[in-house]
Amino acid sequence: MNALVHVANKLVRSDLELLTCRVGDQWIGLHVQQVREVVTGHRRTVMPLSPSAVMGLINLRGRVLTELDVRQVLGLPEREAGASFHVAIIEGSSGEDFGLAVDDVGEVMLMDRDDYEPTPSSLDPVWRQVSEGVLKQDDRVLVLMNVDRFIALTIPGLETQVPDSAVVH
Amino acid sequence: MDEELLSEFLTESNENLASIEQQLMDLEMHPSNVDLLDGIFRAVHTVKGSCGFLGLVGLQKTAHAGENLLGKIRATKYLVNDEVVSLLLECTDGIKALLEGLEAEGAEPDLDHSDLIERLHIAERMVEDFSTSAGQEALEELEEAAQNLDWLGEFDALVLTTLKGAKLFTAQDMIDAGFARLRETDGLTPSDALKILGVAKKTLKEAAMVVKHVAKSESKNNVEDHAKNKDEDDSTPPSKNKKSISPSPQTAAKSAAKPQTPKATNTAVKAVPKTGSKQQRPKSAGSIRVDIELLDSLMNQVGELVLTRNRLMQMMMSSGNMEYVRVSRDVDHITEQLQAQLLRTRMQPIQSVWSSIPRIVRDMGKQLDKKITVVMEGEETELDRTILNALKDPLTHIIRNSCDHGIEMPDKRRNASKPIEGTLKLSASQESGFIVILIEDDGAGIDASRVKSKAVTMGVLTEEQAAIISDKAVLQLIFHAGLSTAEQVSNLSGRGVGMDVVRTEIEKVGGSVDISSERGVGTTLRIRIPLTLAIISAMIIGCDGHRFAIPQMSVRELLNAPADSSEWRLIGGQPFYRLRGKLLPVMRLKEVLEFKQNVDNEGSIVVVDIGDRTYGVLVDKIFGAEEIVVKPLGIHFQQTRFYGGCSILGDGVVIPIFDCNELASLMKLSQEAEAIQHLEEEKEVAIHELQHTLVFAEGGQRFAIPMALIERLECFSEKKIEHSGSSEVLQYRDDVIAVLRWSALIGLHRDISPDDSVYGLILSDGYKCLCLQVEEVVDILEIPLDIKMTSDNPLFLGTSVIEDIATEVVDVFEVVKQVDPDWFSRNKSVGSSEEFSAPTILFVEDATFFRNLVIPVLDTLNYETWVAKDGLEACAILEDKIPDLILTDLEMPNMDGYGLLEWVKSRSELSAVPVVALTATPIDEIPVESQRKFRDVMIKFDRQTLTEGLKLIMDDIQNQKPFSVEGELISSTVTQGD
Repeated sequence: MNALVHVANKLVRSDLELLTCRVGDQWIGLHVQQVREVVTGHRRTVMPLSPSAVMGLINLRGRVLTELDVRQVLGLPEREAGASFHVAIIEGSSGEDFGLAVDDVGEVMLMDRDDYEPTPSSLDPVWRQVSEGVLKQDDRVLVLMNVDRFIALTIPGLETQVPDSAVVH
Repeated sequence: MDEELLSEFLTESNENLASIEQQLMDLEMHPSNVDLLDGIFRAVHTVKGSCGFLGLVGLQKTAHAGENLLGKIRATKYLVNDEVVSLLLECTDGIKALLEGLEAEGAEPDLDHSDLIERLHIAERMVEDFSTSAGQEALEELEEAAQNLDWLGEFDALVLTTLKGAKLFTAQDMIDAGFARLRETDGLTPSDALKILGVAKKTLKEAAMVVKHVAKSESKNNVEDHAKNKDEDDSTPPSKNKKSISPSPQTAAKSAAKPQTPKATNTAVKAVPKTGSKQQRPKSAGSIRVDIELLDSLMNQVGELVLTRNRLMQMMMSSGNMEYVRVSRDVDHITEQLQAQLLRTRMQPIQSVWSSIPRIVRDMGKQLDKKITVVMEGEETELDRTILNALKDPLTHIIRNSCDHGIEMPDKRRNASKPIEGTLKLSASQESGFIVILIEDDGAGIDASRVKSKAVTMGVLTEEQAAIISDKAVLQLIFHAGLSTAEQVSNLSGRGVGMDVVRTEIEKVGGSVDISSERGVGTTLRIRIPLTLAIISAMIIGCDGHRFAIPQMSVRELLNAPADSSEWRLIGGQPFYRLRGKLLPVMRLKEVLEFKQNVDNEGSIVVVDIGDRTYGVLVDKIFGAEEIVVKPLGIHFQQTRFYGGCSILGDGVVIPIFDCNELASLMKLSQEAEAIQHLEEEKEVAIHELQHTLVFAEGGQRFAIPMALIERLECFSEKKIEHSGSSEVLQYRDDVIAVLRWSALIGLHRDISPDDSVYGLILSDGYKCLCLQVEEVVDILEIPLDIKMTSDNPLFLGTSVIEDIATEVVDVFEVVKQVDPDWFSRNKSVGSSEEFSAPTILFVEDATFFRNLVIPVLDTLNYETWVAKDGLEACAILEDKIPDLILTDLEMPNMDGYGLLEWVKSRSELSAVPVVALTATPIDEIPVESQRKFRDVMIKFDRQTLTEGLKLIMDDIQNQKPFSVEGELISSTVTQGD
């Protein structure tokens, strides 16, 4: 919450507002401007034969959104059955909204753009594709995620060479 | 430029020009029709007048040239020929192009029409040369009449006379009259009014400058505002200025001398109000223009409202609180009306798309040297505007195709002794939630064999497939990309693109298209599209715990198909279900969606009809039909095209909607299976009648009996036949049964020694048996019992050709009657009694959907069903035959269920016929007294109660009724008995 107040009080040009989310053991940062809200526990309709990243469709106050599994796309092991998760509703550049299923939602942080380091080349290729840069914090490394590139990865025909290792069943 | 004024001008002009093409073509047919010419002139004139006002120079020039030509034609009473009409059409095209550019860019587009204008001038001179002196005089008179108001500038004589008729002469007169009055004046269009006011104001201003008179400061641009102001304070206008600011001495003088209207003008004035008021008045009075986007967003919101209503209804119903339930019923009702009415606001008559067709056909005809007339029926049929827009291009393409390839050249038609003029007929009609559009031509038709060979060359069909495919199926290949049979590619059509696009476009809006053609007679395209897109009726089905929606428009019927049903076939790994003799390929949804592999055939089949083919979808459960709002799917589903969209159900859960056309592609029919399916289609009729038949011989003659009626074949010694009284009997399985000798029945006498072995056919029904003794059993065959000739002898149903030998088919019923006339009636309720006499039901239902739903149910009960679409039709049927039972819908057009009941009650011969009501509304909502009038009231959707209820009533009737001697064996209802 402190961070929020912080954000409200001082918003400088080079500052970035990020919502931190956890997938597996990794923390990622989403641009706050792109996040509409975070929801939990929506009933989901599984769509048979849909692209592997698609978890299903949810009804968000009368709008139907596609829910995408961040774990699946980033090549992390499947979430345990029954484990709770959050869905960040984000706005893609195409105007369509998506739900990103993440394990946990952290906080809204205000970061200086300059604190970011370019994506290290040692990073997993899939991660490299979605990363805009990394932020080294005391106990963790935060990957700043480019939502549009992430979504492009989930659309069949649009994805750039996704290694086989990305598909974990 | 004032944007509001501009958009007003655009809408106005488009409206005016919309009808002009048709009018021009009508004029071509009736060149002496003055009213038509006036209408056309007025439309062009209005455009010209307004654009002069708005400073649209290019447009004004083009319109002006057209107007001049038209004016000349009118003045000289010149009878137009097709060339002049073509030129005028070109002129309207030019105007339209300019208007379109103007609309798109907000400024006049840079189009050069100088060539066109030049030609219009030439035509004008040509017309002038033809002019008669009478015409000249009329023209002069008109011009003379126009002079009085020449300060107005370039106004048509017609407008000027109208103004004079309304006693409006000076600029001040105009302004005093105000916009509203000018507009309401017959013969003046709103844009005329605007222009007049504009000029009047300008004139006044100039005059004011000249006399240095201080005019009231007024808004500069908004003439309308100005007019309104004037209108409001009608009594306080600067009337003192009235005389002093007479624009010019000349005009003042003319206006002072009240002019007499010349005779020629009189007639013109008379002609104006007729059409003028028709076109302008109602629009301004009773309707407003609404932005279509606003309607679309309203539509979306009502869609949401419907969904929320569904949820509310569910919650309220489960609350058990009657007060809540009542209120929510009201909400339900209002929502429904709101939805229906909003849908109607989006409806437009199909005419709006069709109106361009006569022009296309005319131009095509001129270009191809063919004579083609267009006939239209049902232009007033209304469709959702989104669908209409989507239809425009496919329709144009189809029409072009018909003109180009369909209709033959005149001499060819003459040789084929057809009328030289080809006919293209368009018709539209509504058919329970659908619009059916037929496009028929009486041309050469399509040569199926050529399509076939082309398809083989293109690799669309294999040789093997081509050998067995039906002509009807071949024709549908026209819609396949890359197929066009025109030998010569013209610039109009024949490039092999198009018909596939036509289909894609039509399918995009949920429609379907198919084609039928007869060589030398013509071709018919049939387009079937839903009335509206946003809300559809869908069948909700369950599969492996998931729910899906199948659009009702694709659903033909629903079947209950137990896994152990004998109708299942497995061909080439593909399950088929035999439905009324036809093999229906069945897609196991569970397998296709990869829920489970190797599932059994348990569940229900949704029979899906997508125009050129029919297939079944095997599902676990059918929940029923629901109105759903179609929502688009996201970008992730672009590849999974079998999902047509999604919707939200009453409980808030998202449900996918299948696109049945695409779903079909999920069913991978092996080549073998496909070939068999085609074969089966060809043999359709034959399969239907296929049954096991026993053939026996007696005295060298052959006879056949359906095996279904024979329990056993026995071969025994003649000695075993004993005499009991006058008849012969046989001990058979602890029973004594009667023996009939076939030879005796057919009047042959045959000596049988007691030591001979004889054949006995044991005919049985329930617990009763009898033995039919025959000379020789020839064979048991599975053959179609196709009865060619009926027989006079009651013992025979008729003659059938079995293995190339004429064989008499025995009417077992008659045979049995010889022994025991009461046999069948006593056994009525036992076993397969329905097979012997089909009870008849008159089924009265207006909705095709419900007819399709209920008729199969009646079929499975083996009732003979007569169908009527409403009460009146039912009465007509009842006039000449009496059914065992009448099953009627309550709500119907022309005569409803109650009306029918009254009518039936009034007829003494029908007094014994029970009338059962079938309703879609919950039974408890129908007043008890109404219910009591009927024998029973049943719910349409509930197959089980329907089946059981009907059976009970039928049994009841059959038991009460004395056995009818007219009963006959209907061979087609006899099924295989083994």
